[in-house]
Amino acid sequence: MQQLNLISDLELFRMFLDSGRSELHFRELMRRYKQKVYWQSRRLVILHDDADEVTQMVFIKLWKNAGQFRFGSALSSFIYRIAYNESMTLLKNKQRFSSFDALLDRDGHYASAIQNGTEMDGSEIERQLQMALLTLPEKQRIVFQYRYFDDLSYKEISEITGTSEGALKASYHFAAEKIKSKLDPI
Amino acid sequence: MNPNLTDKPKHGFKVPENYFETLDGRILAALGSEQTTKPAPRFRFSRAAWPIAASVILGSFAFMLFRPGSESNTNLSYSLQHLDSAELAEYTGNLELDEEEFEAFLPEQVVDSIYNAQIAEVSAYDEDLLQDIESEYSILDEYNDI
Repeated sequence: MQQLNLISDLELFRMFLDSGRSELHFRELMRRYKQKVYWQSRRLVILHDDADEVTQMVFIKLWKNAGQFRFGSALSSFIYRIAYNESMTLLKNKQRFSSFDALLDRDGHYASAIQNGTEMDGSEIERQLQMALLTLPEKQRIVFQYRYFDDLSYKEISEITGTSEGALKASYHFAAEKIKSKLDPI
Repeated sequence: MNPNLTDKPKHGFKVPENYFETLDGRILAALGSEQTTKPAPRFRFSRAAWPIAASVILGSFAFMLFRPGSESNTNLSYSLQHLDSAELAEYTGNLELDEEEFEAFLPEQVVDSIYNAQIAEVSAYDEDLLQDIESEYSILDEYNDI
C-alpha cells in the first residue's frame, strides 16, 4: 500500500474523494495543513480561541465542500482561501473588522492581549511588530502577513483573497513602509 | 527593518501545550456531532414555488368570490384581474407569514400542484434533490395520516 505521507496533495485529495471521504485520508490532510491553517488564521484574528474556532471550521468545511475543489489549482490555495474567508467572517461577526479600516480595536482588546502576554511569549521586537500590524488597514495587514510570515507569492495571495496582484503589490509596499517607520526608532 | 532578512522577527504568539496533538480529534468529533445532529428534513417550498402557490390561492379566492350566483364587487374584480403572479407573491410576502403559517392555508390540492411543479423542475440527474422532495412530502403525508 502506498505510503500516504509520500504522495502529492492532489493525489491524496483525489484518494480522499474516491474513498467516499475516508478518515484515514482526512487525517493525513489535517496533519499536513492544520498548523499552516492555524497560524495563518491566528495572525489574522490574533486570539487563540478565535483561531481555534476558525481552524476547526476550515476542516469541517473542507470535508463538506470537498467536491467543489477543481483539480486545476493547488490544494493549498483552496484550503487557505477557506481559512481566509472563515477568519474574515469571524472578525465581521465580532464587529472587529471593516474592509477599509484597521482591525477595530476601540476597546484595546487586541492591544492589551498582545501587551500583557496572554497571547504572546515572543521578544520585544515581535511584540512591537504585532502592535504595528494592528495599526494597518486590513488589506495591508493581510498582504503583509501572507508575504512576510508565510512567504506566499502575490499570485497565491491573489487566489486566496480575490484581490488583483497589482493591488496586492501596492498594499504590501505601503504596509512595509509603515511597519519600517514604526520599528526603525527601536 | 528589512522584511527579507533571514533572522526576521517571528509572530511571537503562544499556543496552549499539546494543542495541535488534540486538534485532529476535536475536529473529527465536531464533524461527527454535526452529522448525527443534522435536523430531519421538514416540509419546505422552494423559492420558485411561492408565486405558483400565491397564484393558486388567490385564484381559488377569486373563484369563490365571483362564482356564478354570488354577489360580486366590480371594483375588487377589476383590481384582481390586473394583478400578476409577481405582485401576488410580493403581496403574500408582505403578510409576514412564516412558512408553517402559510402552509396552514393551503388546501391539499394546492400542495399536490406545488409538489408536481417542483418535481418537474428536477432534472433526471438530480436524484438526491428528488429524494429530498419526496421525503419532505412523505413527512407531510405521515402528518396528515395522524
